[in-house]
Amino acid sequence: MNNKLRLTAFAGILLLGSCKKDFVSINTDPNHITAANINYGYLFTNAQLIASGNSDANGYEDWRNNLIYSACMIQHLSSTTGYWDGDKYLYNASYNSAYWDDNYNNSITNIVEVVTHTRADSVAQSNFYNIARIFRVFMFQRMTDMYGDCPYSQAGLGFISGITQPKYDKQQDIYTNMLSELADAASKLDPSKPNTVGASDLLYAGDPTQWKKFAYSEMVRLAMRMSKVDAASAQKWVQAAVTGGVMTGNADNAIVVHQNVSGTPVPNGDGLILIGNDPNAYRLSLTFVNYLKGTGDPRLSYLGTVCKDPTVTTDMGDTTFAHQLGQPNGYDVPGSKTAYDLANAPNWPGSQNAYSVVNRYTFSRLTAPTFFVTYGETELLLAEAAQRGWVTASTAATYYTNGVTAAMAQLAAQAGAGPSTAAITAYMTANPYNPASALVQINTQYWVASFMDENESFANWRRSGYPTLTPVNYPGNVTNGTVPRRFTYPQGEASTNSANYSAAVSDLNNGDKMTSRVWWDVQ
Amino acid sequence: MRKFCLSKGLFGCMLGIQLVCYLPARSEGNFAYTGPRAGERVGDPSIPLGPITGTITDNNGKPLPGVSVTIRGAKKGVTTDATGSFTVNAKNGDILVISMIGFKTKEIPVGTQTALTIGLEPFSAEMTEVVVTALGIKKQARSLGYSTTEVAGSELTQSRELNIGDALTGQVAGVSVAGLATGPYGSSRVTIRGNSSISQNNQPLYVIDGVPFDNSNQGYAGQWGGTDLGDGLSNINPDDIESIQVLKGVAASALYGYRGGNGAILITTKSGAKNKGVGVEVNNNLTANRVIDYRDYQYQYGQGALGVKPANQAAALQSPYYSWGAPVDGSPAVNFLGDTYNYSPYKKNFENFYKTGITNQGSIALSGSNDKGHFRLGISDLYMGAVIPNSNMKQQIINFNSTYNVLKNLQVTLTANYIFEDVKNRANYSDAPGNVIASSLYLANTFDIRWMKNNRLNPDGTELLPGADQYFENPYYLAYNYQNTTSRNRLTGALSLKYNILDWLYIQGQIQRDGYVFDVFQVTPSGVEYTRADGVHGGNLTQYEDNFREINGSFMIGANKKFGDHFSFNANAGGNEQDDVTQYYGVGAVPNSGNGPAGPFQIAGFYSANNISTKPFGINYSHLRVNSLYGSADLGFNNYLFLSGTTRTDWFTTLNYNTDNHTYPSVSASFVFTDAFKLPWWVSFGKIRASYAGGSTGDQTAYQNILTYGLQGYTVSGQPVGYVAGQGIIPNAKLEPVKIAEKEAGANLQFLNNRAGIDIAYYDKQTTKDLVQVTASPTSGYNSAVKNIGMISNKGVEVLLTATPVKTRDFSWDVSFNFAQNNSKVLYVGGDSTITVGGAFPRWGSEVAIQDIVGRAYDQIVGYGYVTDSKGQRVFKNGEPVQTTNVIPFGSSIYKQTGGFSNTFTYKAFSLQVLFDFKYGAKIYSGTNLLLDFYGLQKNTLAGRGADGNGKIVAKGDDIGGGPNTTAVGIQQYWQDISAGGADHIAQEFIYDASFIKLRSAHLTYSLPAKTFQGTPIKGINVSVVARNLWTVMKHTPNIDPESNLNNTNGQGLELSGYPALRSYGVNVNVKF
Repeated sequence: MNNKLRLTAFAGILLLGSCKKDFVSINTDPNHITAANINYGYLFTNAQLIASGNSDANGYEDWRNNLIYSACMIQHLSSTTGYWDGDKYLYNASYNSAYWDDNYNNSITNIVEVVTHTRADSVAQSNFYNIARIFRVFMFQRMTDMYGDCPYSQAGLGFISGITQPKYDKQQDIYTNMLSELADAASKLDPSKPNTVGASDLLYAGDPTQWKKFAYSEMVRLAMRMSKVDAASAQKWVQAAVTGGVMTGNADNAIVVHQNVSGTPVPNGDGLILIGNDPNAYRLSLTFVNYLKGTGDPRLSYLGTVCKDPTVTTDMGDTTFAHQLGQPNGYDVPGSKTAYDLANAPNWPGSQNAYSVVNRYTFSRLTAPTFFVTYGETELLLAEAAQRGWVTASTAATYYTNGVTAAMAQLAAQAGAGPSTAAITAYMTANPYNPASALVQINTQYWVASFMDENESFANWRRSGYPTLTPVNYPGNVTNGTVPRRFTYPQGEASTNSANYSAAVSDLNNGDKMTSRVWWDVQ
Repeated sequence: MRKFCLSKGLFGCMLGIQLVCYLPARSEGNFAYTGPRAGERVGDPSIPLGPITGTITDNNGKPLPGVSVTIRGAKKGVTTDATGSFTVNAKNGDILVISMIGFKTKEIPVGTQTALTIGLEPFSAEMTEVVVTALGIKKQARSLGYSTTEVAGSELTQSRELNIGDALTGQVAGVSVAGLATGPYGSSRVTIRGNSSISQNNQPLYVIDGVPFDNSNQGYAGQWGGTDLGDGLSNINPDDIESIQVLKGVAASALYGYRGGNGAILITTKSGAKNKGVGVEVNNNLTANRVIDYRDYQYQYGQGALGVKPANQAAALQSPYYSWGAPVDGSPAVNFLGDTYNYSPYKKNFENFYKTGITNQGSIALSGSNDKGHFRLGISDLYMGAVIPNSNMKQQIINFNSTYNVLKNLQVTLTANYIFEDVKNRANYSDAPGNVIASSLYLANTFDIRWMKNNRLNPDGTELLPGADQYFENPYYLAYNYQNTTSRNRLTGALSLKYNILDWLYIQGQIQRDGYVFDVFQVTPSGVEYTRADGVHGGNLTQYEDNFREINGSFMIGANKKFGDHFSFNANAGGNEQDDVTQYYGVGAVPNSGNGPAGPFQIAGFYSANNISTKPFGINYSHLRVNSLYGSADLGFNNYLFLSGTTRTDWFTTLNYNTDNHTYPSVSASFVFTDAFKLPWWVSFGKIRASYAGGSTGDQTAYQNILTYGLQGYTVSGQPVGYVAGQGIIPNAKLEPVKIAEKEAGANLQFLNNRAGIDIAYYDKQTTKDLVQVTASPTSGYNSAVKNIGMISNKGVEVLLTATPVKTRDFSWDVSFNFAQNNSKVLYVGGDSTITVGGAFPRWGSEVAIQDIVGRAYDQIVGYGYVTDSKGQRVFKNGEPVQTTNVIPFGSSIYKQTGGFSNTFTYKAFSLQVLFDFKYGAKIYSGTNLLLDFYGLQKNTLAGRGADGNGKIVAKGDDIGGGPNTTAVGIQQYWQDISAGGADHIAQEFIYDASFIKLRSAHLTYSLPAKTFQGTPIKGINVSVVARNLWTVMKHTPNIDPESNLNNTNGQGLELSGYPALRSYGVNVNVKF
């Protein structure tokens, strides 16, 4: 009997002893990738792809923020379609927050994961870590330029730090941190260390030398954005950038090359809307076409085309320079019989299809490239810096000529089709740099050079005030007939992150409105 | 013989021995005496008749007057006098039958003595009954300090509900069975004492013969339509069930630890213990199901829009579901086929589309026993034809239950339940497309559904639709061309060894297994319009296998000892290892794979995955383990005062395994005061009880605490694209089980010699650390976080009243009334004031949701309401009602009061049972009535249609600018604006009180007199006529059954185009050999 009792006790102890045996391996999902085996390069690919504005295979962010709002507000495009609210400064909350909504819990989560997990490794992942930091700056630059104060230091840390309600950092603080991040990361890029990201980096295949140029060019963009609000810092950082070494040619351009794979976010979001989802909703703006025509800009034939019926996607249209026609902003569909009927607009050509749409050999393609930062844009910003006397490495005229020439040449080289070298030379001869109207000239060229990177174009216009746009005053607009100055926060933030959201809104000069100005956008 | 058997293994041994060795024993007696055992010499018939005197007393030796004493077979008898004495003439060998209401009948063979003293045992379950409690531990009912209720297997066989959950409707106080509009192969939702958790399972643990029985729902219809793929409870044959023990409170189920927080339902299958030798029982049940037509439509204006009837085929195709046409006058109109018909009301679409569903369930059971053990083998076959054409279920169940004493002290028990189940064409309901039920609900009231019957295909083989809306399909095409087939093979069983070390000490070991393979094959045919993206190829397919198994290994040591005359002591200690693996894999919309159905088919009409060029493969694996140690101790004093304590600790792989202390204690006490004190004669029995316990409704989702990544199904420039997986939910490494604590007190009283009784319970159940999905700002990178912070309270009372108002020799009337009230309150949901309950979003009606709102009862239906002004009048703008600025709660969708009222009348061999049940205090959002308003079929759309059918309504209320509303609005526009989503939607219009009273079941049973089959091997024949859902006595929901919930998730209260309610009539024949 004693033996029986002992056996019983033994059985009990055995079970006790093994209470938590194998628990870790049991709770490991054999069908899911974990930190043990993820290649963070794949997350980096995702961050770059989604930052290009097409997170959901429908181009929704590009459609709503980049095209419907920014492109129309800065009058690259014009639209008579009811929901293209940017044309008339009408308000749509979810269109305003589209880029925020689709990036924070997607591309930003990914880049934060990458930065967090590559940080610990001091040698092997060092270049990858610093590349990811640089790209993260680019992503937040776009975000804060669109919205102002926004979650930055605590963004994307829901799992890593358990922060479910990130605070909104001040845009000034974000800028300060982004600039030092760029400087630090660029200085630590080292071609002698391994390239562990490789082809997962869609921009430069992990080349540290290229990323260094990207970092300093991005630094120029950030620095010049502060030109009005903090000229001293702007000067300091633009000098640091030139010393560090910016892009030196179109080959350095930061480009995401897209593929034509339907049902995935792989196609270019802009192209998807312009040729696929909404080909008849917009036309080139009168403001834009008139400027290009007025200067005899050879890019017009590569940015515009006149289609008999834009919905026929195989109709490549007529790209003849002289046939291009811009549609005025602020009108309703022709035949709508409203006070703003397009048919009543001056110089009505009789048919809306006489107005140009986006050229189908270049940007109105699923495989059109996305330009993040270009050599041409950088040189133009440096031209302004030189004009202001902040940099002296080259003259403003040289920077300007380089910038415009590169912006024209990149079309043929990288966007599918563009003007010939002879045409570019002829244009430069006819339209030389003019110090007397330098800021107008430079920033108007920046406006043309950033065509289709509309959010960037909108930001530089807000900073510089050029080109002079023709604001419209349509009934129901929310800006009192002025061009908007920012995008509004997602409505959900009021409930999911209320304290931080309220604090951010109270710091805006005009509340959470499209007319409020971000920190660097001083009057 | 035995040696031979043993060599063939345990199973063969038991079966072999019992079949072969016991067969000759069949001729032994059929009944057991309370007196001398069979085989003992009981008397000599030669001794002549003489007077026998005796005294009859109760348990305490008190004389019992009025006791009936008869001699078996004789017509007359005597009764005892005031001193409990009787005198009767009898001869040696006669059997005295001694009976009295409230006491167990005793049969005493007359021997040689002439003076007898006979004690009668009170016939009260509470006084003597032994019940099964958690972990299969048997205890005296009187010792329990908490509420349990037993439901006899016969209640279930007679109710003939296939799903055991549904069969419990109205039977047990505090057990609420939610009615679901998901048809006869659908799921059930059983909750006991309310809902304890916002996110976790709220249904009780089911245990069949000691084996935890998985009752997971295999899939349900949600916002965008779908199918209820059923749960586990239909995998048990009611004919195999001996009894069901409902453990309602946490104290009762505390030994189940994290699985016991919602109570437990212990199912005991029949054993052969009662049959000496081998017996055979044959049962057959034939039932006919018919649809209950709750429709009450308007038939004054027919098909068409804006008061115009279709004058040509094109117009008919535009309006197959619109009854906004002209006044019906029998004049010629044109239907969707271009045929001319009489524009007259057409009311028979239900009758013509639905058929009578015939169900036949036959079962045969073989059972037997001897002094070494017993066995029972039950085999059943079920065919269930649905009321929807071309849909049925076939199920075979083999149930085996055997106990055998291998050695003197070693007992082996083997139980197994094996089921094969095939279901052909489960119905799609909720939203279109694919909804086979929608047509007969919404077709215009002058549209004959049979027009589509022989017109379901176009000449090219594609679907012929009744109208331009490609998402509302032809019901005959849905019934005959869609495929939605499932099959399940399931084995549930256990093998246990029990060794009695000493007469008061045993050790037991057990291995249990529950597992199934569930195959799903779903085809949307290639001719379905909306799937034919290129105009040619269409259709899609989902085919997967769901593999589940749970293995439990456990041991238990138990002691049972009496100390002196006054004290008794019971103790048990044991442990369990639970190991669960679930795996899904297949192509198409495999659950949790993120994939949609695979399609299109390359060759029309050939439905195989091989006929699809690109088909996403999905795989989903989950493994979890819970280790547990537990123990219990019971102390009894004088068999009237009992104190009991239990404890259990669980260790989880799925939760934070760095914490050890998930311990669930319970204490309970019971005091049978009628045994301790002398009370008036009319108090037959009295007990008070109280308990406190901790439990959980733990989380069984694996891998919630680590971050995982996924790879997209595409590449960019050849590069894989990775992402953070987990659907935006932040993994939580510190997860804990939900905590539930319950206080319970109650009393059980029997009066008037047990002719009347009351059982009452009060409970206070508090949930803390509920796992709540708290919203996170998307800027955190995620949309929500799972946190242990929710708090819910459930308090309530349960009352069971029983009485036997009439009892004579031939006739008796038994009444049972149960009632429960549960008050739930959501106390905290993690800082937010509301939380939306997952799984419950109505397709129709924007912003309607089921939410848990702090300070309110569980499951509030929220949506936009009517704005009213200070005068209480509805406010209108441009003649249409103004929507509230925010969504507002309209009340809880969980019934507050539930109960049942059962009457059993027994006359000689006839027995009639009638069960009413009722539920009060819940709301339902009716998507069906919304569509009926939209389509102009609801009677409330009549006012204002006018002579031509295109009239206007001036709604009663005030204009937003002040003064009464005077603006007239077109009647069709008015109702379509209110019912369509968006800024004009008024959800309040479609909120109904879901209270009801129903005549749930009635059955009449006749037991053939034994003499009918004297000389045959037959021992008994029962014939019964059964009917269910006979009469809806009271309801407030027009056109629908108030019990029409879409699915069995925690989000209750939404209804849309569900499976129609069914009424069944059947005949049951039971023959025992």
